[in-house]
Amino acid sequence: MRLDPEVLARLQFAFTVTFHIIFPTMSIGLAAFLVIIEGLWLKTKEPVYLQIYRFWMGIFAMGFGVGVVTGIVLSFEFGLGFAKFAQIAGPAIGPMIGLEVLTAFFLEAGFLGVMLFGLHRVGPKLHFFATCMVALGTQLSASWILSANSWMQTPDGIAMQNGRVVVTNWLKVVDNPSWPFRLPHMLMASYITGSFFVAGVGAWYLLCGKNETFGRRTVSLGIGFATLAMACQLFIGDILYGAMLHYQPSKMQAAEGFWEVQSPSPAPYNWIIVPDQAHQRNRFTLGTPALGSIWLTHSLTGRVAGLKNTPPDRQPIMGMVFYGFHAMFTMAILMFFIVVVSLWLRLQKRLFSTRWFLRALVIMTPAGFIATIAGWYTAETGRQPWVIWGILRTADAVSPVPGGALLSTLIAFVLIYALFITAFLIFTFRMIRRGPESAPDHAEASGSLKNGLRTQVMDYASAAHQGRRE
Amino acid sequence: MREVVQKTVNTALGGASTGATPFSLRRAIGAVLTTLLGFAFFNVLIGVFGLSAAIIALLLFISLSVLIFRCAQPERTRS
Repeated sequence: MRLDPEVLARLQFAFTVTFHIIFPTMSIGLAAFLVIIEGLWLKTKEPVYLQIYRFWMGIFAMGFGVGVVTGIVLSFEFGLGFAKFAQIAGPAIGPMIGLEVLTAFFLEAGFLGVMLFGLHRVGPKLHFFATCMVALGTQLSASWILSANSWMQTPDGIAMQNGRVVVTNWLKVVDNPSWPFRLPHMLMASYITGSFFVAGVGAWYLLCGKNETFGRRTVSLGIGFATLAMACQLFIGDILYGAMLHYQPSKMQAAEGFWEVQSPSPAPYNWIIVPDQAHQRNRFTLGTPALGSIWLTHSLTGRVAGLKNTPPDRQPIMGMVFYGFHAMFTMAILMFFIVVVSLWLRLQKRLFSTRWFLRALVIMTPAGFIATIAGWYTAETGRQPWVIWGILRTADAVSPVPGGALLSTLIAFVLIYALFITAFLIFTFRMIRRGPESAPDHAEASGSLKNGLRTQVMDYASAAHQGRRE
Repeated sequence: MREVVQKTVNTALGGASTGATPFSLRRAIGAVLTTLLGFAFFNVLIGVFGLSAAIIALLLFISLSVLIFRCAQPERTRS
């Protein structure tokens, strides 16, 4: 059996990046949530906020750890599976990843210890500052990675010399055409993911009838943030759609499931298709009449451009892009429905007592993760057959390594990552089952870092002194 | 002011009696109206009526949500 290095390299990167994206999305969302919770605690001094903070800080720390470890693997994979890409695009991509480390990782590393272990060792305001810096670090990290990925989608600020990328304008490389739209879209996705995660866990406590004060506050805050973020996301998503239609038309043509140069008028909105790429047609289509014109062209009779506008050798695989996009969009519709229902129930003062809604929140706990992964599938499969849009094809970017090497490392990644996810899920479920009681709702000590450390040092010194005397 | 807004929205959405039976006509009408309002907001937010309308809808949705967030919820969790 011949092992195709291109397929294996793509499969390996797809697997590792799918696994990885879960954790930064959660970290960005939870870090922002923790900033707000600690701010509320400082403002109101209500113990429940401290309890919420301590509970979610534990889950944030685990997610952060797994996210960092799985993220490092990705940069090595550039060399392992896509060495030619690294060779050609290194001058543009390398510095951005380096800057991510210098700005975001250093900031996070500097303050994460204070955030995780300094709650009762440093003053509350300094601790809040540390939480803010860690949250800022997660946003900066997302910003650099989105900049690098967006440059691959819409490259700018470079010239090709001797088959290699040479940067001519750094500002254009970083602030490339799709980055200003994709960054807020990703950040909102992270906030929504974190909010639904928090609200789902709170709803589970309310359904079980335990930790009700904690549950009520987390449901209220979680679904509250989700409400604001969902509205912003729909707005940003539509603007991003327009930008992508301009810069990467074949991606959006594939995402809507039309083949013909122009769709019929009015165009239906396709929900299910069975595409036949070889014959450039759909074997089966199920859609809502006229909705495609309304949603995609913003008119009652508009026509939607199909994938035949793009030459077959430059087309992405329609099925992958279509179902990635529709999984994301369907999740967005469901989440928006949930937040609208939450507003209605809040008005009726039944937010915490409507059990079907609480059950729906528990079911929707992973909704943000699913939508984010589906969104990234759309972005990455829609860019094909290019790894750098219009410049370098994926097939030409693959390392000259035997398929067996890629297969063996892929198997190793699957096994190691299975261990990671199992450990993460076991500890997270255990923390949720144990509940917030394991996180004390009162500050044991406070004060300046100097005093905090002095107490620790004095305790240690007196214990050592006593030990010597005995 | 808050009471007035709340009363107006409650009336528009079919009443907000906390002690109501699990199913009532008013509540059903409220649910239908909420769904329609949500569908309308969804369409405006995704730009069906243009960018200006989407910006206005976004601001309106956020303002209404913040107003509704200020409604105190009863402590009980079981209906």
